[in-house]
Amino acid sequence: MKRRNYYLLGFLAMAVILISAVALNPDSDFSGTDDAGGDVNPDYEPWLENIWEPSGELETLFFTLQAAIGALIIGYFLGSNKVKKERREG
Amino acid sequence: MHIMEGYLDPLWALVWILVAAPFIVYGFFCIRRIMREDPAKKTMLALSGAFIFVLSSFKLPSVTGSSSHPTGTGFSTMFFGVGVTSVMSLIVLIFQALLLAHGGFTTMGANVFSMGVAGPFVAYIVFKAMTKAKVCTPVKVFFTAFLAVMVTYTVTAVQLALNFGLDNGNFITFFIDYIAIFAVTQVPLAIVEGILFMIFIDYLERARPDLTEKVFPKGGRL
Repeated sequence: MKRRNYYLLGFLAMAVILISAVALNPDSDFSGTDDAGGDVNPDYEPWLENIWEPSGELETLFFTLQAAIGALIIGYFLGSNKVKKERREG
Repeated sequence: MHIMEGYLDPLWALVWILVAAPFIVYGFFCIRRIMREDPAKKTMLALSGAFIFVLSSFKLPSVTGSSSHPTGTGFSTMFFGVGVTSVMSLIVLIFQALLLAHGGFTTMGANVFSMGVAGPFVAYIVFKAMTKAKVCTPVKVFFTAFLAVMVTYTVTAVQLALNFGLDNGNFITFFIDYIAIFAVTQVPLAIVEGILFMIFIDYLERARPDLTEKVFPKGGRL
């Protein structure tokens, strides 16, 4: 099997795991295990609140921003490799 | 994995900050040394941070119904070890605590310890052992990434159980409660992260062997 096919198989496996996770839980509210601290022990009174909490839309924006910063660096690296390779061969 | 602001008693918050601090300081010096002596490694340093940024921003649903995110620390662990990974984690955690109200500053020590120290520490030891045993690269990469995520969440469960259950003797009950939520939720995500790094490292070995040959010597076997 070609290298590219292994990669495709890998991405396919990742997609299957993630999609089945969504499909099995149509009601997921995406609240996250990060909030589980309160679910398991509801009596606990947090003694401090976050200094500032973004609204839902802002939160999405910042999450996207975070991913974009990382993706930009990885994309730059992949692109520069491609150019280097083309120069070597060209 | 992020413990929310105010969810750890002041005493525990302080304990975890003190435990995490030496690793941060050590990591800071590691990064400074790399920048000064080995500029070729800057690329890998940037990629390490980039993967942690991308992967820890993905809130993905999981089979248990709750959603969670991978940590992305496997890459940094394999190439740089615990010190650098703890600093990278600190940067991401500050970003998330400040802008997203995700995690918090009183719980920063605990979160840095689980994500940037404990997970990478165990994963790094296993990675080195597998290198010695000449395990082939894809298997090695998968298990390192997988372990970094799983150990991180196990440690978070311990931290929460210690905080809630130590003085009333319910430590075990709380630990089981948390680990039941975390472990099951994290397994699929840890597998996804493992596959992603397998593909990326394989690509790196082909496209840029100059960057990988030290960490992944040729001639491994299963």
